[in-house]
Amino acid sequence: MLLWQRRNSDFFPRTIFIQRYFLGSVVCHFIVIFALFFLNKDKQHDFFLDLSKNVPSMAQVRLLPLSMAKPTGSQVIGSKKSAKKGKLPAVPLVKRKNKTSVKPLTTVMQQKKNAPVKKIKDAKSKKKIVSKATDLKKKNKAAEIKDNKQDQIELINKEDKQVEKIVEKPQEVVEKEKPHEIIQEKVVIEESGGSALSSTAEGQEYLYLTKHELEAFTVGQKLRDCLFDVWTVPLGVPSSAACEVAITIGWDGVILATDFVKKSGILMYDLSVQETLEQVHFPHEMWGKQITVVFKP
Amino acid sequence: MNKIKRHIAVVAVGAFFLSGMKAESHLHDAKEKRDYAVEIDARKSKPIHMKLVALGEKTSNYEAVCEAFVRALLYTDQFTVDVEYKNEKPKKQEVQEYKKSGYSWVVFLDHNTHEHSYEWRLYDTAKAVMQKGFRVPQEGKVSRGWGYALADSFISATTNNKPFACSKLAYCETTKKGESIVWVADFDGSHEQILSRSKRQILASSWNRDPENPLVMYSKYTSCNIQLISCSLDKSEVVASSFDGLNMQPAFSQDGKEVVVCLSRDGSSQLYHYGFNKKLNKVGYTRLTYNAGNNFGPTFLDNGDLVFCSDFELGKPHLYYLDRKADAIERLTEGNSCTSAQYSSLNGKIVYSKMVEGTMQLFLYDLDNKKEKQVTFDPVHKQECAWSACGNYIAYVAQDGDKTKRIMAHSLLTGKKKYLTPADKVCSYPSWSTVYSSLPIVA
Repeated sequence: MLLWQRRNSDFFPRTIFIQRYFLGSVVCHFIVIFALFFLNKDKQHDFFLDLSKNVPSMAQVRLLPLSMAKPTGSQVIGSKKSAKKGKLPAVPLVKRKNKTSVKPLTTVMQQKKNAPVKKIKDAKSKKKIVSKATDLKKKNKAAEIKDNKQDQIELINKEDKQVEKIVEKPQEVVEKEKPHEIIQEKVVIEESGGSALSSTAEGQEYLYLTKHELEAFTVGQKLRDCLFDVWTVPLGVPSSAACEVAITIGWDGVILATDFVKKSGILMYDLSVQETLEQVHFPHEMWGKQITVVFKP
Repeated sequence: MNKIKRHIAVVAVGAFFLSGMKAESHLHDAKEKRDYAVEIDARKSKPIHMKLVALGEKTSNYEAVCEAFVRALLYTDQFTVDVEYKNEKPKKQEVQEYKKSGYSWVVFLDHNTHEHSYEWRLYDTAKAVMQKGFRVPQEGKVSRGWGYALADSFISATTNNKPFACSKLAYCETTKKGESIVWVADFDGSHEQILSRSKRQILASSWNRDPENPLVMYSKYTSCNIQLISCSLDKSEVVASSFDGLNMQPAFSQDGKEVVVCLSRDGSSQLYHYGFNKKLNKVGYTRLTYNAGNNFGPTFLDNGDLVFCSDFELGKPHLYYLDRKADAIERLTEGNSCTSAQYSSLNGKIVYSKMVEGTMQLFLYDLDNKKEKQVTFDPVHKQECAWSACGNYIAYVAQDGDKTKRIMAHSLLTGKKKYLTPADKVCSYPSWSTVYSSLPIVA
């Protein structure tokens, strides 16, 4: 072969090696990056944060990223199933009886139908027993009236004795008062109790946040904590006063600039904010960032 | 060569792809550098600890000025003040050293003898930068009045509250011997002076609204009626009204040109307006209320209408709104008895006493919302309430038992209460005047 027909690889075996090495590393990097940004994108993370300070109902809040499905009963803190796993103690829920003990309305009507009023059912013997039917009807009515009176008396006595128990066990008291109507009320109670359990557990609220919102929330909470320790409001400041400050924090945590975006108009209040900013030490997450803080009395 | 070209092409594509990834990550980092906006509510509050440095020679007048200045600031409960006298103004480093001692502010007080004025300058101890300053001329002859004027200007500049220190407090005292005394004191009940003294009973003392000519009005028992007396601070008394029955409780309009008085000349106590009557084309008394009940305690609103107490409708006193243009009366309160109403144009609210569970408590009525709000909750009877000149304090008679009757002041800013009269006096009918340019004293 002539000199000009030879390939570079004949002259420079090292260059070939370097090229191939470089290409291989590029391909490996490509695979890793692809895996990081595309395959691992929707990985689920579980965060718990105490937001009881900011939630008006002071309930414990569970934060869920948007992609996560709604938790089941075993995952809900405060439910009996999670209590068995050694988590927070179960919140006392509305007691309910087993469904097997439920007596729907139809049974009530059936019971009424099954009441001993024989003469109404026997159509054939109507003519023979017509003369005696009125007497029997009167007797039955009198018996029913007596039964109702006895029930009412029992109910009054039991209400006096069991005033406290009524609060704790409403269903049992309701039963004793009016047997026929009780069953209807039982059904109502169980339906409401059942629906409450299926939607949300008692004392539990859900907040769905994105990753960025969650980060901002945690950072804001840390910022509030560090400012609470330092800031004291002067006495007698009206509640409508508010001071908005834009703070630029350096990469070493030192405040580079503070701009009063909106002053309260009350000199003592603005000076207290200024004094606070000179004493505060911002958390590490705030370094190198710009923050806008609204101070409210 | 083809292979080389292929290699180069692959490398170029890979590099391009990687650069795109890095750019995206840079963007992600840039997003992380976005601003955070946070709202913070205060958890704790405390008064401002400040140092008052009086520059110049320490004379008796200068001491009185400093003492009055400090007393007025301490009265607000918003400041704690330590006084120091120095001949020369300290340097910046010395001012910053005050911060180590726990002082947030330093106030320099200077007496300008050439211009007959006092000056105060406020510095923050962190950067030793002057924040505010004010010059107050020496008006009047009373040195503590200059201190009050300094305090008023300082409070207005730093807290945005209205001035109150240059006002006076008037109240009645009934001695153990049955003698009645009308006292005039400073805003906090200090430096009290006797204005009038009589063996006949005196009650319902109040101030007029003229800052140039301060007068104290009160009712005095006579053998045939209850006269309304007007007394200036040089102790000269003039009978303002002497109809049959009682002549009591004059109320002045915001501009001080109109007066409404309670007169019982026609039987029960009714409201009468004293001024120019357009129909009759002369100055005189015009009756405003026509009912069979007792109408008393009138107070003027900004628009010229009146709020007063009456029992004509329910048999027990309640607050009523009198629309003078429409000549209509509307009841404002419900429930238990309500008395001693007074309106403040500075905050637009009416303070009055209302019976709650057997104890008279102070309430505020907002005319805009038409809602009342209870201010006090302690088990002491409160009555005969009056607003301060700044609208932030309420003076009232605190009656705990049958014998003790002391005048107290309740702060709406801090919720704290202070006694304005000593424990051994039975006092009633407190009244705060307007703010005067020079502090008036009883001759």
